Amino acid sequence: MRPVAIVSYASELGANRDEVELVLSAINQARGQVGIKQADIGFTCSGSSDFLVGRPFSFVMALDAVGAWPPIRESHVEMDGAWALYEAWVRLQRGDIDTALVYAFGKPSAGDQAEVLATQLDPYTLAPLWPDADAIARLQAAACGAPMPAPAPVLDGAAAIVLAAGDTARRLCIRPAWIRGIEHRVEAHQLGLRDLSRSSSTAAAAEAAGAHVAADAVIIHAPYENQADLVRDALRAPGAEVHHGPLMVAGLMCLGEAATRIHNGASRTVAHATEGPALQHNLVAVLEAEKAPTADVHMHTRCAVVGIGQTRYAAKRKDLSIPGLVREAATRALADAKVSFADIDAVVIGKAPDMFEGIMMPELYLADALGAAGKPIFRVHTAGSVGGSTAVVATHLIESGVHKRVLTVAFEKQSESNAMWALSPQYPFQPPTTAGAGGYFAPLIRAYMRRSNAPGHIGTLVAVKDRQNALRNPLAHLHVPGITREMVEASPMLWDPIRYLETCPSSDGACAMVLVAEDSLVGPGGEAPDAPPAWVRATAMRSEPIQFPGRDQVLPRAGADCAADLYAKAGITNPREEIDVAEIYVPFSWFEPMWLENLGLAGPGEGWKMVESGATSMEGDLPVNPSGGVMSSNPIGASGMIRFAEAARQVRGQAADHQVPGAKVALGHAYGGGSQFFSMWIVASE
Amino acid sequence: MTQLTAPYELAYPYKRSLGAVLGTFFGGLKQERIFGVRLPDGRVAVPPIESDPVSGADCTEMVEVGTTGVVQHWTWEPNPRAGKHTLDTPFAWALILLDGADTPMLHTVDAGTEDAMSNGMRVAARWAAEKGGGIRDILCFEPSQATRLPVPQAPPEPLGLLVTPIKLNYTIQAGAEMSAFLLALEDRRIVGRRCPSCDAVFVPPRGGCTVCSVPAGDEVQVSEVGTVTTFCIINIPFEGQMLEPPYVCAAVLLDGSDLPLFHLIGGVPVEEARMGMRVKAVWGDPAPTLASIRYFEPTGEPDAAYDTYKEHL
Repeated sequence: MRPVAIVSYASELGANRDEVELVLSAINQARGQVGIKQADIGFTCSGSSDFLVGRPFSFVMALDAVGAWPPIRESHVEMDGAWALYEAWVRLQRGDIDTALVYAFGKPSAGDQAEVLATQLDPYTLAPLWPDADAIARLQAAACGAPMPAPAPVLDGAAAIVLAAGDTARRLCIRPAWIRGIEHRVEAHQLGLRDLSRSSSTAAAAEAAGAHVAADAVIIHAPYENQADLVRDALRAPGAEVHHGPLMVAGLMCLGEAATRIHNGASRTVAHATEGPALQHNLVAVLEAEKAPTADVHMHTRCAVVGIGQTRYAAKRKDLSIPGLVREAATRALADAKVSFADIDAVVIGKAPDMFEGIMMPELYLADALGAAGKPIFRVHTAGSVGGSTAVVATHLIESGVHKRVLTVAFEKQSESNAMWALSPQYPFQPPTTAGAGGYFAPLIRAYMRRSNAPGHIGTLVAVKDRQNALRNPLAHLHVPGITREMVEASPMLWDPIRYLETCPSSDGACAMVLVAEDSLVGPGGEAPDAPPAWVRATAMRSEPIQFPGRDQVLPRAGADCAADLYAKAGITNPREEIDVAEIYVPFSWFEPMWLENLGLAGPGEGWKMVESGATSMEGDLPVNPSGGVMSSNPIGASGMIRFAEAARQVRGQAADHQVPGAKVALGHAYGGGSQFFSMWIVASE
Repeated sequence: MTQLTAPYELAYPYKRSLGAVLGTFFGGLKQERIFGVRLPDGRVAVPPIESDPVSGADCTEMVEVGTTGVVQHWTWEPNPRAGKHTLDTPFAWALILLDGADTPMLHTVDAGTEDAMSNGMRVAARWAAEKGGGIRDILCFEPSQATRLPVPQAPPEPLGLLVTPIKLNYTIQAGAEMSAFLLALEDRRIVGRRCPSCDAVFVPPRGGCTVCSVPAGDEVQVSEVGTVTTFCIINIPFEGQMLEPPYVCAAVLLDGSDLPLFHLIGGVPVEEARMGMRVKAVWGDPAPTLASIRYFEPTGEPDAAYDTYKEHL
């Protein structure tokens, strides 16, 4: 692997300070120690959990602290920051960037930490009994014959780490802490299916990371003393030191502390992080000082989509549980790829805020549904763009050579709660004007109409086109036979200027893909998939802050930068000519012309003319959303991945009745937050 | 520095559709029967799961087990949580291996005192008086030497939907800058923060400058008069809504601020709302909340020219 090191680390603890203040202090210290600015950083990744303060999108607020302008390459995991560091390490393996900033924050003192963690448990048979995290830890101690542990500490704070590769690390730091191995594994979720008297996932991660070696210090994250002993056993490190930190931050702090020991003269240290009930998910890393410089070489393996599976989308999939919904997509993707769960190296899950289903970090529970026990599992959350970002993270795992075959799944089961509530609950100190996503985006549409002088019927045209396309897609949620402009225009104005039929539905659904390395197109079973692979030509992500003076929210620079980067990486010089079909994230019909401009597929002020000309219809020269798009199916967390998967279906010739004839190059696009997070890919038949 | 705090409750009665396996399990509980599922290796797992966590294989064969069993491990719960736990007196959390099952399930045991609990003790399910509450249909287990094994009978009617309420209570801090902003509203002043690096004025203030990545700087008072940059008319009713539709929600760029503030427009028919309209705050009861500005109403000044605010869209 490419040599990557921790070159700086800082943490900031303290109650009575808000997340932005804590993050700001930690990242400015970490950047300051090595004298770099945000603009010098290649990739930024954070870890946190919305449930700690009961607020969806808390990571969006924390991004305020980073200085994400000009737009940055950025991602977020709804996991401890140690896993954000893992994602950044994978990202650096691709070789196109040399530095990364990782941060995490947690403010669990806002609630009852132990009780909040009960929402991590199986939502059907465990969480309704409300066993809190302290009780689960005591039960595990009982299973080990260990003394009853004290309650876990409740701390607030943030931490930040700067990673750098090769000579950049040597330039920034006198004694970089090189990451010689970093691995993570999850166990089954159901307590009854686990051996609670040992930490098998820590042992497996340690084995894979090469951590069963003599070390000057072993720094572990164990919220409870009995768990510390299990981790020490699994690491074969009786002298391992427990390092306490805030929930979602503690694991990253252990990595930072282990790195600090190297910076201060140690030769080799080991760090450990954990999350989930009773040590369900564990990460282990080995850090070393450099003996002799190793060459900065990196692998670059091409990534291909060989399996795609989607659920039928509906307002309520009453016939399925959440695991059932996720498995409907996952098993279809595996069948398409002619592989089984056993052939999968790692699982990457994406979804929007956990409030939708009321399960905190549901990847822990869903490990059982996805055959992930004993494997790495990863959870991405970047707001509405998450389905796309999840596919991008999975792609990086292949391209970097870390894994050969990855299952990636995105889902939302919106019928479990209410989308308007889950996206904008009445949170203290916020303006009393929240009105869901429509209330947020309608003013931007009005601004676009004013700026481009677009006539009022453009949104209607897109609404009709997307619903007509959906009639050719049997999986689509909305099938409106005989849809006409008159029907759309007669539908109620919900958020003026957005009409009812110009909005997306609220859906249940999941989408999954099997991504493989170019030497693994055929599974171990020896059977090749029926459809040819879709090659991932390029991926790109960009983020910018939700508010700053002079921000163009209609055509955000993050979107334009992301597209320009994407086309450059894919070798596309004239996107309108070279892209055969596009699946674009259009939750309100007016966003089609807006994104056409933002994506450089139409000139400034020309997007609506492109729509009006019919160019984006199935018969046009650049069909947009042949599947019916978000306007016809919208399980929010999955919507981005559906765009990516539908783009891949097109170039594999798999799109059946909504196939664009001869499609060879396709664009998948997703956005989220306040039009501030973008993820995209280009897939091609060759 | 005064920091405002407020209670916040995250509460929702989640409606969980169940599918065949969980539906049968919960349908069984309604009839005081307990079902597990056969794992690929032949073991019976209780509670049932839809697939094997290691191989990912489907698990579909439901196997009824006894409603009695053995405590494998337990821990005392001295402080039952009102409204959350099924019992309101101290009880034990226990991993219980039911007769006929191969994996233990987590539930509660009402033994009265901690001394009455032991590994290996036999227990029997005590059922809730009212059923349909999912896993809570088993109110708890209780010490019992009985052995109650299933008798052959028709499979239960699967339960289709389960409501599992979540209620979590938080104390939310406003943050130093937001607290100062809200407290000033009580005095009918609108204050923001000036970035010490780029001079931009943020209203409402944020914890730092979102561009410069530096902590917020000095407090700045801005005008209560501003310009509507863009807006929408809310016609849709929704859960938790605080106003009767239709109403106008607008981005208002206050004179002296560099960020639009989202608020309501009043004192004018909704159809007369427009971009560029000059508006001023209409104050309500003094309170440290944004609601102390009831809404913004037209000043009567001529509309601002598009060029003066187009950079703020």
